[in-house]
Order: sequence, then C-alpha cells, then structure tokens
Amino acid sequence: MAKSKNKLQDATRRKFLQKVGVAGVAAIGSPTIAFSQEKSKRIKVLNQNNELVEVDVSSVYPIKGTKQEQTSYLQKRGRKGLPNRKFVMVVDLAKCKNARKCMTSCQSAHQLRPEQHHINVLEMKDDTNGQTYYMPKPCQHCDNPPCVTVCPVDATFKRSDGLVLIDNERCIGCRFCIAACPYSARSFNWLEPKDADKYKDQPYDIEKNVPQKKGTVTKCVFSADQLRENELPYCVSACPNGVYYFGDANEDLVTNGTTRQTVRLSKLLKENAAYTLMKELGTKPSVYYLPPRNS
Amino acid sequence: MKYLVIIILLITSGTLWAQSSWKAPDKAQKQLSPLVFDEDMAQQGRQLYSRSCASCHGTVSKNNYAIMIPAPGDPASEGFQNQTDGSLFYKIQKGKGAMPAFEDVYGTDEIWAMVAYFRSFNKNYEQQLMQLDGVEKFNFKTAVAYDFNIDKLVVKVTSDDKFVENVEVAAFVKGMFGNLALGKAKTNTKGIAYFDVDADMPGDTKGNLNFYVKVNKNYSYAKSTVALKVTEPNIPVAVTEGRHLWSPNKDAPIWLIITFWGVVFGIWGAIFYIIFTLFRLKKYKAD
Amino acid sequence: MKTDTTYKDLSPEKIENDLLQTVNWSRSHKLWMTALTIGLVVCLYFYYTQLRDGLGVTGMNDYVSWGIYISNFVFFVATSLIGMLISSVLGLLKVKWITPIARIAEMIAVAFAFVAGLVIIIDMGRPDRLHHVFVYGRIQSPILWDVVVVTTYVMLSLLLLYIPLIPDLAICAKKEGLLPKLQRRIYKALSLGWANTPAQFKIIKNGIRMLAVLIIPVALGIHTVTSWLFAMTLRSGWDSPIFGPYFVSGAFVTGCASVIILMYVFRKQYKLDHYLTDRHFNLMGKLLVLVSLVYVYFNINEIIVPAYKLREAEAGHILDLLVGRESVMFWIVQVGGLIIPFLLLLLKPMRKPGPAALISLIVVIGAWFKRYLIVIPVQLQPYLPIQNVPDSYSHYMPTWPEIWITVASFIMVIMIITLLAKLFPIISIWELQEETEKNQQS
Repeated sequence: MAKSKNKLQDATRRKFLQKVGVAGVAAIGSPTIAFSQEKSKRIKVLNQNNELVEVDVSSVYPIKGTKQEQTSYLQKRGRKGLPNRKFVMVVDLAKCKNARKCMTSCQSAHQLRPEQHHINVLEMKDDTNGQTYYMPKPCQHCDNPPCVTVCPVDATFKRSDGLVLIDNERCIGCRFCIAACPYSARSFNWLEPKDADKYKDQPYDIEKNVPQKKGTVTKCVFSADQLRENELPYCVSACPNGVYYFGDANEDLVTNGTTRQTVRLSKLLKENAAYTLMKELGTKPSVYYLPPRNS
Repeated sequence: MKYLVIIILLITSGTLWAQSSWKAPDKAQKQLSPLVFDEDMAQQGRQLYSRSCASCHGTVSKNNYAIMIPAPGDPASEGFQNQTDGSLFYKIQKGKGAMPAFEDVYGTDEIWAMVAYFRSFNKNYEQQLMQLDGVEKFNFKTAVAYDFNIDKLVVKVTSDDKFVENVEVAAFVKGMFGNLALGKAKTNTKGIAYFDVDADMPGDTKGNLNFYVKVNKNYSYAKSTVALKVTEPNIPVAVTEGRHLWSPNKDAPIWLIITFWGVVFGIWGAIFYIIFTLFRLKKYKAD
Repeated sequence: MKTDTTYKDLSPEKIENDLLQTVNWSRSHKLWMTALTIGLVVCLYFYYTQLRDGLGVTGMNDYVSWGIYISNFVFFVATSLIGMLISSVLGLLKVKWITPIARIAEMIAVAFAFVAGLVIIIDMGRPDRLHHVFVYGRIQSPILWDVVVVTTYVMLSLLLLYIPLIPDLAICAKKEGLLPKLQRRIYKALSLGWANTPAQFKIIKNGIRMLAVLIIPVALGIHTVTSWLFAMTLRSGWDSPIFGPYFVSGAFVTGCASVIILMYVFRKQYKLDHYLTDRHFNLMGKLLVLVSLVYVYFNINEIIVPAYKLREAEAGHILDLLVGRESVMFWIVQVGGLIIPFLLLLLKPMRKPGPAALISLIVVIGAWFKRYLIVIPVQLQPYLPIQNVPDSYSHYMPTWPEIWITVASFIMVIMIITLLAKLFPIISIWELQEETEKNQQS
C-alpha cells in the first residue's frame, strides 16, 4: 500500500458552463420533454407511463436492421451481465407506506396487466405482536435460483452480474419455474398481453422483457435496461418514501432511489440487522430487507 | 368516464395555470443564480424536491401532479420552463395561496438547486450567468492524492499556482448510481483539505477508487474526478463461475453429464441391440 | 354350476380361432370408432380455442399454474406403469397366470404413456416451441429427464408389445377372407419372416427377457422423475423425499384397476370367458389388494409425518387436506377410493369379474382425484400470501374447455386401445398354445 505514497496527481478537468445534465434519452422509458424543433430523426413512442413522447430514433433501437435482427442483437447482449457488477437491492420496511408507486411504474414499464406483478407490495402480519407492515416483494434474484435450475430450455438464466432474466423468445411456457419459485415472484401471460397490438412491431428487448408474449413467463428483471444506462430500476426511482436502496455489491455502495443518498452496503445491512427472505431455503437472495420498526 | 372527467379537469386546470396571473415582480424576475447549474446541483435539487414538492407537483415530467385548482403544474412543463430563473426562484421563496413559501425552510443555494433540477428537464435551456464584478475570482486547480501515512484523502487547492485558504471542499467516492459523501472540509493555510476514507472500501479491478471533489469559494467553482489506487485490486468472482445445477447446459455439473448421458446411451444401446437381433429372425427361417 | 373350462383344456386350433376372431373390421367397431372420433373432434375444438386465446381459457392462474392437465399427466404416467409390473416383474418371476393378461397390460402401457406425452404438450404455453426442448435442452431440468424417460418407456413398451406379437402376426398374415390384403401384407412384413423355428423362438425369448429387465428401471424412472417434477421444488407439501416410491406405489394401484376394467370389457365384448377366467379376476383382485396396501402405507407416511409436527410452512397444506377446504375430496378419495375398495376386495365374492371391475372403476376415479389432490392444493398454500390479484386466484376451478380437453385425452387412450385390440389378438396365441401343450404333456 505504501508504494504510491504521497504521489499527488494533478487533475484539472474543469468544466465550467457545463450544459446541465440532459441525462440521456437512452431508453424508451426515460423521461424526456421534447421542445426540440428538429423533427428529422425523431419518432413518437410510448414511455412507461403510456405517454406519447418524442425521442431520437437511435435511442430506441440500438442497432439498425429488421425487427428480428434487433431482437437477436438484444438477446445476445442481454445474456451477458454487466462486467464486474453484482447488483443488490435493500428494502427498508420501516419506510414503506404502501404507496405502490413501485408497482404501477413497474407494470407500465413492463407492459403488464393489473393482476400481473413483477413487484408486489404485500401486507404482512407479525405473529408475535400482531402488527402489520408492508413488504414490497420483487424477484429475489437468488444466487442459487431454483427457477433457473428447473428450466428445461435455458429460457430463464442467471447473468454474471447476479440478475435472473427470462427470454420470452425461448420460453416454452411449461411454468416449472413458477412452481419452483418459493417467493411466488413469477407471472404468466395467460392471455394476449396488454396492448399487444400496439407493441407488436417493437423488437423484443430481453433486458426489459417487452413486448410481453402470450404463453410465456414474465418476471422482475431488476430493470436491466436501466442498469445498462447507469440508471436505477423503475420501481426504485418511483418510490416516494425512500424504501429502496439499489447498487453494486462489488462497490459496496447502494443508492437510495428517492433521496439519491449513497451509503455503504455493508454498513447499512449491519447497522439495521438486515435479513433475507426464507434464508432456510438456501436460495441466497440478492434482495435484503431492513426490519420494520416504528420510526 | 371517470378518466374523461379527470382529463377534462387536467386540461382546464392546466389552462388556468397558464393563464394564472401569478407573476413575480420584475426585479425578482431578473435575479440570476450565482451558482452554475450542474448535475450535482440538479441532484441536490431532486432530493429537496422529493422531500417538499413532489406531494403536490408530482414526479417531474410525468404530469402527475395533484388535482387542485389552480393546478400545481409540472415543473418540466412549458408554463414553468418559459419563466426566468429568477421567477421560479421567487415563487419557491415567497409562495402564494396553496403554494407554501420556502424562504425560511431552505437557503438560497438550495432553492437554486431546485431550479437547476427543473432546468435539467429542458434540453434547450442555457443558463444566463451572473456578472461577478468586484468579487475575487479564482481559477481553481485541484490536486487529489491519497496519503498512506495518515490514511487520508488529500486535496490541494491552488489558483494561478498559489495556495488558496478557506476553500470549501466536498469529496465523494463515485458509485454506479450515486456518490458516497466523504464529507466537507475547508482548506488550511497551505490550501489543503483532508478526508477520511473507510479502510475497507473496496476498489475496482485495478484497486482504484474514483474520487470526486468539488471546491467552491466566492462563486468560483471547480470539480474534478480522479482514480487513485488505494486498495489491492478487487477482482470479483462472478456468481456464474463454476458448474452449478442452475448453470446453462454447457456448464452442467460433470457428475450429471456423465450420469445422464451414460444412462441414455446405455439404455438406448440395449434397445438398438434388441431391434438388431430381430432382424436376424429372417436368417433362421428354416432350421 | 358352471364348468370352469380354461384355455388349458382347449386345443391349439380352438385357441387360434377364438383369439383371432377379434381381429377384424366389424360394423360395430367402425361405429364405435366414429363416435369416438366425433367426440374427439368436438373436444379438440376447445384445444383450438386454447391455442387461439392462450392458457387463460383454463382455470389456472399465477398461483395455481399447474392444473388438471398436470394431474392428468401424472395419472396417465401412473396408469402406464402396470405394463412393467405385469409383463416384466411377474413375467421374470415366472408367474404363469399372467400369460393372457400381459398383452392387455402392455396395451394400457403404450396407450397411456403415449397420450401422457401429448397431455404434457397440451399444458405448454407455447407448443409451437416444442423443438426448443431438443435444441436448447438443459440436462439439469427434471423436464428433460421426463422427456427422455417417457420416450424411452414408450419405446420399450412398444417393443414389449411387438416382440411377443411377432409369431401372432405371422398367424394373422395367413388369415384370409376377413382382412384386407394390404393389412395382411403389413402383418407379413412386420412378422419379419417368422417361421416358428426354435432358433427364432430363442431370439425373441432372449429379446423379451432383456426388455423385461430393462423396463424395470425405466418404468421406476418414469414415475420417479414425474414425482420429482414436484419433489425437486421448494414448495412445502411437494418437498418430500418419499415422493418417488409414493408415486410408484400409487401407480400400481391405478394400473391394476385399469387392467381389471379392460379385462372385464374384453371378456364381455369378445366372449373370452375361457381365457380371462374368474381365476384371473380373483388373482388380479388379490394383486390390487397388495398394491393398495403398499400405497396406503405410503399415504400414512406422507400425511402423518408432517401432520404430527405441523411445521408452519406445511401446516396450511396439511390442514387444508385433513380438515380444511379440500378435506371433503380428500377423505372421499382416501376412504371411498382406496380403503373401502381394498377391504371389499378381501372378500372372495367381490373378486368375481363384475364386482371386481366395478370396484376397480371406483379405484381409478379415486386415483384420478388423488392426483388432483397432490398437484393443486399445495399451490394454494405458497409461503407468501396471495394478494393484489383477483379473488379467483386464491382457489382453482377447472373451466369447461379444460375439462373437455382432458376428456379428449381419455378418448385418445380409448381409441388407441380399441385400435390395438382390433389390429392384433388381445391375448398372445402362441404363448397360450405353448402353455397348453406343456399342460397336456405333463
């Protein structure tokens, strides 16, 4: 450690008058206000709140080509995890007031029907004192994922960055993963998905799992499309109550989706007696819970 | 039907806002921010906004503000964005009717941060800067290093090759989604500020931590990002390494591959052998 | 008193004539097949609606994501297992009385195992992607094991049906008049130049013995793997180490009962009283008692161990079965479909063909509902509460399309068995002749 002692580095990258962060219209879902008069390469798309917004063509489709080519490109890219990352979520149950903004933003981002949940806020009852609390329950992105183990066709898979995704171009709809998941985190497209007509020309984005497909399983993807853009997942940034922290365990940093405060993951877990759901099942979840307590 | 009513309500209330006669005084309209709007400021504004404003104004750019008359409006809307910085600042500061005055709650820098946050939704916005006549201006340069003798982050601030005293320095460790604050400190007579860094803070694959420092004095600003090697290389083992039952087919556990294919080939080999013997029946047609 | 003539007292010629009479294309048979086909087409219309609209036409939902299609699949696989018990285990033990029953058992095995494969496709959300299982198959998934083992079992059962049939095919090929020429030519080709030579007998007997040995692990495998579709998950109620033997023992119960029913139908339909005698019903009845006892034993283990402890995760499910919302069906199935039938079968008059077939029918129906009780209630007791979904998600009720599609699978089984019974002698001619010869010599 002492080798690089006192080696002062001059870093003079100053940016005065930096144009204020137009933080990327990288994905369809990103909020954007189009005051622009330049209409040449802009198209209208629906964002996750079903608002018609204008975005640049290049921000919608990562490559040029037919729908099938784009789908395969996205599939191939989406199977690899972001290098040297290991994503974790921390849910502070003390702060959850059942606002359900996470659920609605998730459902609109992933084109889900109202009864389909990638994240579901459950009302839980504590046996010992009868107190109720609200528990948001996304996919736990287990490090020993029982759903992935049983998949017969490698449709659902685990990436190197810890995410458990599903390829609904591959899924055969056997629903073994739904049976295998002890957290009831998966949902099935029993009927034609919501607004299927509207999205039928969109290439399939495996990292967002849209457009949804009839007869395939859908699940929480930790908003892998957002993470690629260094953005927090939809549910995390939609929360008005500061419930969610999200980040990279390799950095040991997690950022609160509401306050954007960044804290040490290890410290947060230790100081708040964090736990994981149904530890005894050995699934090794990537989602931690901070116990409910009166604040 | 319910939605239609809401939509009509939104449209009419939106017009109400646009037509609303609430105008900041001329003098107030001309106020300029002494601070340069940047991502950090917008970030700070976002936090303040979510704490004090979001309950009525909703999520910025989502047009999901509360239904009130007059409508609170979305800060990303044209009605807001067409106002001057000074006008927005004034209205947050002074309030009117249902809109509370935040004069006593937030400092001017914090209110400007909210304005910066609103402006971050407007691509076409260009900040008009303040004329800083008569104020001492600095041309800050920062040098950042890690001192292993005292285990502290050292930030040296100079301006035109001279140390600057009493500069406020804020240091952070950059993370993927946000920055971990190491704290704020003022430079000493030698223009140096020190920061504690957790000893167990993991670095990246090269052992680097990305430090981010901001310095500020008398409306002069500078910020810089620097990667310093302060830890051993932290090469994480991907969770997908190795052969697991949940791995893709090509990484199936060896014992399973052997057992599975062994059984399949064994049984089907026997089946084909039996079928093969049946074709010898013809040979023994006669004794 | 009726004289108890059996095939052992009959001449080889009589046996041949009696047993060949079923191989024909009679009018009643054609009518029966037409009726079945119409029924099948009507039911398959509902499958078409399922393909068009999605699996949402069934009563399944995100919590009960496996419904009666899967319980039906388990039932079919279970029933098919009897082929192994009768022609292989009893055959290897040189139990003589099974000779006229073996082919019936093998027909049941082929028909049920084959349709089980189709039933599992019916349950798929994307049957158009069936080939993905072969292209992208993961050998870690019990589904892949199931695909392999079901295919293997169908193949072995077909061979076990076919090889003992070779000498009979040669006889059928010679049968002029009643059968179309083309059909006889096919028989001739399939008989692989059979000429009753000792060397040929040696080959097929060797083949049969090898198959009989081979089919035991595969048959145990098919149903054990089927049980693993459940036991390999973390769901409390399925997460049981005795699920394999529990399923296998249950399989023999429904299999034996199905054989008794089919024996009764064939005996009545084709007047085979001399071949499928009261003695056979008596012995099959006893066999059914034996396998039922084993199954009762496994049931006791499977229920009482978790019920004694009532661990939180399992309590909901166990109490649902014993005293809760599934208790009515549970007790009817256990007492009415298993315990009373085997108690009745302990009485000799109840092992006469008529009563035995009736009791077997009740056992089979009970067995079907037993599979329902294994598959569905567990899913209604997940670890985390069922919330924020429509009320219908907290229970399961099969819809009409689902029921008719299930009926279609039964029609297919009946069609296959009918066809097999019409194409080939129901009872092995040469094996009976061989046995009577030995009988007369001694």
